[in-house]
Amino acid sequence: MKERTVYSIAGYICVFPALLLVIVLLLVPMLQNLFYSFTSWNALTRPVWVGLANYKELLSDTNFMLSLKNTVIWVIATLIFPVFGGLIIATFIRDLKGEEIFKSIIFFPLAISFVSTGIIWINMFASNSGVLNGLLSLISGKEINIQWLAEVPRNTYSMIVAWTWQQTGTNMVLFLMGLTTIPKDPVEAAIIDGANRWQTFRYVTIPMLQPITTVVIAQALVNSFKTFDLIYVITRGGPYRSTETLAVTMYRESFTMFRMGYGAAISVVLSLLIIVISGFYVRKQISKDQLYY
Amino acid sequence: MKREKVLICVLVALLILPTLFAQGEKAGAGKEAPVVLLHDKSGSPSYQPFFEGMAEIVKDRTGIVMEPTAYPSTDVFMAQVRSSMLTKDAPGLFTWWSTYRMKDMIDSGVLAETTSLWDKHGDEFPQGLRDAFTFDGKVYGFPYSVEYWVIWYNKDVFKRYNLQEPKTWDEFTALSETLIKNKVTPLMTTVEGRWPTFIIFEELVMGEDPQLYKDLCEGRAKYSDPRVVKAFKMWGDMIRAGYFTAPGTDVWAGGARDFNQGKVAMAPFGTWYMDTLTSNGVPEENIGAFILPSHNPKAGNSVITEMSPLLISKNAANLESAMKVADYWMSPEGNEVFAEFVTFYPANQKSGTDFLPEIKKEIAQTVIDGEFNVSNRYWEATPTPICEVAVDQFAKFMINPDTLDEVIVELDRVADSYWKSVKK
Repeated sequence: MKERTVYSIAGYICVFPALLLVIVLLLVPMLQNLFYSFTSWNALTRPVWVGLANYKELLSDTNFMLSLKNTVIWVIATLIFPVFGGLIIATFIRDLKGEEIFKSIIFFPLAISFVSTGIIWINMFASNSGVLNGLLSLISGKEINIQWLAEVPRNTYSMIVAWTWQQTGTNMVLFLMGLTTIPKDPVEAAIIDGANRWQTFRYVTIPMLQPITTVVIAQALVNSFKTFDLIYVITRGGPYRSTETLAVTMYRESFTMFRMGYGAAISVVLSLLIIVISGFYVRKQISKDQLYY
Repeated sequence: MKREKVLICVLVALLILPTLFAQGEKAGAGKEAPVVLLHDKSGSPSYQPFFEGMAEIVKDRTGIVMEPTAYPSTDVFMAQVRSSMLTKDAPGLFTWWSTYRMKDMIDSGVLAETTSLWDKHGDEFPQGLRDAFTFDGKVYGFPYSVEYWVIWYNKDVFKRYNLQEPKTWDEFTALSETLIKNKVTPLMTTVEGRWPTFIIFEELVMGEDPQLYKDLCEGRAKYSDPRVVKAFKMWGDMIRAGYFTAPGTDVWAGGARDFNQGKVAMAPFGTWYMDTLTSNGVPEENIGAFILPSHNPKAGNSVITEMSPLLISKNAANLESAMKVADYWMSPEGNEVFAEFVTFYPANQKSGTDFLPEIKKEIAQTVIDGEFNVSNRYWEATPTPICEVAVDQFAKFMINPDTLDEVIVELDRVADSYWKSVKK
């Protein structure tokens, strides 16, 4: 047997355990999920084939449409606040005295799990015992009882604040990494040419941050599409399903209502949205980067 | 090079070999496996020590080993139970919710029938209790305790404003008005956690007519029935008049604190809420309770009850042992032992209740003396597909009572659709 063949066989054998895990734990469940999305199943009996009925129902389901709208709000807000916020903070604290301390403080929330973050913010937002209302009451000298989590759409915005608090740190670190890779020459050249700080940032720094921005935005897109933990812990999608995102609706239909087929259909739609939108974005950015360089 | 080839082969062999020897543990060869009891009561207080205590007594009395396992989240627990019901890992016993909350399991044929046990313990349980576990003449599961739904009140606040436990609806509204005038919120309610939204609704519909409440739950009356609409309108008027805490209120630790500080005077919850109050620092001597009077005098005395069931899987590997455990647990002694652990009312009416706090004894006595009409809680008494939508619609109404018309339309739509599908 040729030496190359031995190496090839050995390579395949070495890859096999990992490949097996991917097949068993990822591909098979994905195909199973796709199958269930064409069935009616309550997890107690055998699934009954219903064809496209679940997908047709999605189109007329007002809760699904609201959930889709909320997901879009989350995606947009996530792109604006944690991503843009991370970039601004990274730019400002870079080379600042005490950069390490600022970095640690802003990065710290990411070390906390989503569930713990949710519980922390429940205590911040609670109407009768929350920190925020207590603080506002103390400042104003009168009883303040703002319904941070019960009123629509304030509840969604409140949770976006919690999300921003947790997610900004990771984007800041990634942007800081990107900033350190920017060579000094183009920046100095821009300054010599008379560019002010904003112009330098806008026309030199941001374009040169393009590769890391692509990673940050792609990651933020995927994470915001599948936002679940924080919402589920804080409001469970309520009141009256007003804060549900697609991931929460999928969970609720599957594991509260036990409409597994319908839940599977939502997860298929969610996966397709993530694949198409983030795939389209990354592809476009990569071709842009290739042109740029 | 030859050494490298040998090294690669050895490495590959090392990777693969362990998988060839991987093998599941054979449970209980020659010895029966314990009866597994799954539950989700791991919050505060956790029932795990109570179930473990019960397991010791069960072993002593029946010789059967019972193994309680707690799940930290109700959702995960429900998913685990349901997904195991068709397998050989189906739990012998598991906690659940009564009536319509267990109906789809009955329809799917995964629950073991307990009719023979109920027949054996026939005169020990009230007929109404048996009915809540009966579908098509067959009984499933059994209750380990029952609780009543009452209005808990702060005795200090009542004393401060010279208020008495109300005997009529007019007395109740009068005392509530006094509290509002004195800047004390009369009743604690919330939309947080979804389910608590049905509490006031069920009380007001039952206060109109207990039979209407039952008819509504079982599809014989509509949500647009003028009497149900009347109950909704009363509720809306109470919301507008400031009878309730803000919809986003934390009714647990925060609620107990507000109750203790006299910011809110009353809390409409099950008798289990007493543990929430006392464990959050409210002194027991400062806690009083009464049953909400009916607003329609013709409705008579009525009270909501909540049952805590244990169900048995038909596919459990040790079904026979699980049935023996159930038999003991249903007995006056078994029911009392566990009720004492949790300080709840035993479901078996022949069980002793000496261990109950005075206030709980008084509530039970009031129910007996007043010949109260006892009805099942809305959460269990209404089919789950309707109830799950209804609690969200009630939340919508609580936040904005002006949404009444759209709430009723949606409730009728969902209820009609469900009952139509059942009649097919």
